[in-house]
Amino acid sequence: MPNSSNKCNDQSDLNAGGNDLNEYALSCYMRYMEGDESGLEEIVRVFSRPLLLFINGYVNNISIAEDIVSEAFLRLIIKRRRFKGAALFKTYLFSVGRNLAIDYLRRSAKNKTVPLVEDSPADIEELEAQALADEQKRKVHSALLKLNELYREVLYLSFFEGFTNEQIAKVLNKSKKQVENLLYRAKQSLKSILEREGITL
Amino acid sequence: MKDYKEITAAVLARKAEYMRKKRARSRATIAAACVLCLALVVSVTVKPLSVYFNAKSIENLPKSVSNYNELYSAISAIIRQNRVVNDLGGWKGTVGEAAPNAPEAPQDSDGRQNNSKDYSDTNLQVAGVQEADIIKTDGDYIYAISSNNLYIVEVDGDKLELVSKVEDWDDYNTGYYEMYITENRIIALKYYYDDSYYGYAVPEIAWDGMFWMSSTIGVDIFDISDKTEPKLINSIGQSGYYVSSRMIDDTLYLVSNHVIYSNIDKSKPETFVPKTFDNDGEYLINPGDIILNTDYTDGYSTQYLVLAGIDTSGDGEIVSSKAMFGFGSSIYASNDNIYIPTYTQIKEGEMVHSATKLFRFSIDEGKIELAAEGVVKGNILNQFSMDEYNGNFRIVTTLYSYKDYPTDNGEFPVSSSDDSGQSNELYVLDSDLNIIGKIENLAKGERVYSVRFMGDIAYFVTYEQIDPLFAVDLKNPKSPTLLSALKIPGFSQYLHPYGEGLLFGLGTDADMEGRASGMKLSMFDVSDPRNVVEKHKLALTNLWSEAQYNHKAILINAERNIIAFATDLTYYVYSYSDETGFKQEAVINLADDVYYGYSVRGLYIGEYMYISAGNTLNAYSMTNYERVATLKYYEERPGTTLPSGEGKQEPDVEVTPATPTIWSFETIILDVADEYIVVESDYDEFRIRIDEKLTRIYDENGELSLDELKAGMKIFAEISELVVHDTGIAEAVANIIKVY
Repeated sequence: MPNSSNKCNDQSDLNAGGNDLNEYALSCYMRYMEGDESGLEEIVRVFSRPLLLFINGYVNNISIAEDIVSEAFLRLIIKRRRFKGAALFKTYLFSVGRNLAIDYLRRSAKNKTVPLVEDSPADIEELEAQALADEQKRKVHSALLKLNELYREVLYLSFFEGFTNEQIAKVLNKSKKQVENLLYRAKQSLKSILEREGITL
Repeated sequence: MKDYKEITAAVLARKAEYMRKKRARSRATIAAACVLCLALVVSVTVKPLSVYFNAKSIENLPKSVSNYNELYSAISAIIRQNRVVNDLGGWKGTVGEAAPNAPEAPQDSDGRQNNSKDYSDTNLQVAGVQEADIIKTDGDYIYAISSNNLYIVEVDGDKLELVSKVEDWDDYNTGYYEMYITENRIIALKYYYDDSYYGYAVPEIAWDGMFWMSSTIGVDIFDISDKTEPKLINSIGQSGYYVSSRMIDDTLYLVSNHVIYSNIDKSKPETFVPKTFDNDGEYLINPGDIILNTDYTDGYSTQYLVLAGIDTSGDGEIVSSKAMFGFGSSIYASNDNIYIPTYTQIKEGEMVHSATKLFRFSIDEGKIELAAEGVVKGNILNQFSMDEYNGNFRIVTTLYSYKDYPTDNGEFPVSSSDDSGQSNELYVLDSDLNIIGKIENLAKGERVYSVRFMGDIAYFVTYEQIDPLFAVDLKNPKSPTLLSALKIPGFSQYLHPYGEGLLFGLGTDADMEGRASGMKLSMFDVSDPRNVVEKHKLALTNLWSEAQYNHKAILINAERNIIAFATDLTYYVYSYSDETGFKQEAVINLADDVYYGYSVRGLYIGEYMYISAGNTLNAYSMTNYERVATLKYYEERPGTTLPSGEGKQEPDVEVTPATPTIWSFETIILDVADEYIVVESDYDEFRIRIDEKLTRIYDENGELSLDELKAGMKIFAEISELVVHDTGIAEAVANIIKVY
């Protein structure tokens, strides 16, 4: 992928989800806020797929999820924001994304119509493939979709996005204790689904 | 699927669109900023006290304009003035109407009779004056608004049958807020959501889950002589966002606030004149019905109060309309008058006082006339702060005063206790709104939390650390006398007469240091107002209810001996006896099958209780509170179940008792600095400050009440939940909310 910026040229593994990636994204953000448009493109490149997959878990429609993702990025760039630590950058992005998704669901609860374009299984697979490099993670993700929302979102953030329990607590507005409880139950639940489908980790 | 470049392009396009809207908005903000930024406005517009306190005689009341040109000139003058104020550096209008809008308190959820079955009605303030709500019953049918749609359910004891509905899931730009019922009619208040509208929080509205800013308020009148087929007879409405409404017999009185933007055009009156409409068309309000408030330069901003009297019988007809500069957020209506308090300030020497300008409109079968104008110091809490009795008007206010010194560039005008103060006032006014009796300077440093007028006696609660319940004798309106002040921990946010000699209080429990711990039910013995005692109390630790700030959310009837309300998705039913105090009759868990919804309402018909929550109506036998029937207004949509927090709770997940109120803030706290926290609402950031004890919140204009805080945060809000990036602050805010 072409990269014009100097600071934003570190091609980290997009699925690593580690602190390096966060710092990289934050540096891109700073670049963008200083006027370098390519900074935004890099942030979008790094985060749009995982965020899209995450949000699609709520709204179940990729084009709507894309809209929400755009809006989440917009919130990020409208004002210069200071983040205490790079990890908060991603936490913020996912919090905003989740809030927007819930907001959307509230509105659409009024609107019973089915979206014009239904996602085909192939679309979902494509998205999974782009967002999750690891074959095993993709299998787990399919199983994840069979879980209820509470479990799904907590596992998604923990397993796929490498969020710490504390970060998850921030995104989901829960206490750390609640997140730990949830994670424990979610893992039990996931395990039984995976066992049923014959997937071992 | 879009690739990342396409998404980037989409983000940038959104940004461009946002910047464009923001420029358009900033013009509109001027209006809001002007009202909100009291401190600044004050230095420009406050008049000496002597100008006020002389109620205007009929001849001196503000006159209507003679033509639209005159109106145009007046509005242009206000807009010019607002610009000046804005240029002085009025900080962004993020702090809501500077109005303490909170609890409201009434008459009995008055029991009614029908075919020998008695049933409960919405908890009303004034007998004979109906108030709108999301649920109503006539004893045979329950009428409910859920997800902004309308449902009619036939009820016969343990049988529930959905007989008809008025649903439109496709168009989320309109929907119903609240309604009234009369014989064979449903009068449903309707929002028209306008994307471009940049609005205010509506303080009095009953929330039905969703909340929209609406720049137009509508009234749909349905004929329901055939309950299976509601017939829409007329769609009436007017400009402005909904303030409040009342209904007397078949006549609906509707009050809205209509904001004028600065892009007005002399040749197009529709850009600056409020409209009304019905099935036949749209009408500009006549110049003769537009009152040019003489004090419009007060800094009221370019807003109209728009009032209409609507006959809902026959084909439905707007009997009269009035528009007047000003804005209000609560109204009080008796059978003959509507009182609208609006905000102003007055100056007395070096001191500036918050004040309320009162307008009395006489009402008679839909005809509305401005009848009197007057001013009192301080601002009201809610509709229960006001009362009309034997031709006099009584009002309880909280006064905030500070020394008038110039503020510099929007920095905190930190008000030290030396030159500012808060106290509480009670006034009795005659029908011309002249003050004829008063008690001033009560409970310094505290503010009013609830008020209830009961004939000759006024009861009200102020609070700082412990709760003084004041009883004031108003038998001689010219010399109100303080009878007693009962001090107990906690405070009542809603007061309700409960049979002979008893006054029920629902509020917040607190320890002697003022730390809130949950809800509290109190029963006061007021048989001797000189010696009020708290006869019984019941603390409900860690619980909070909508009933604490919305009187419509409580079901209370002394005759049936029932006190019921919801906390989150649990419904509590209590009874009371002189000897043993409050007794818990039932705790009903609604969470299992409620899919979506916020406002929970209970009502009874005969020996059954019905609870409406989200998409579900459940029936319970009142002998044992077993559920006997259940009905869904609509089915849950797959794929839209709300994740965590809202609606469905995962029953098997162990949830630690949370701090429920805080999460409803539609705001993100962004940053925590030494002295203040930065809060984001929608795209806009603003700063609030929390004191060292973590018990009070200030903005740049001084202390914020919880409701101001909420209103301010909601203004730009689209984000659904509070995300706190610092747990310490979350606790601090939670703590503050508990204290409030």
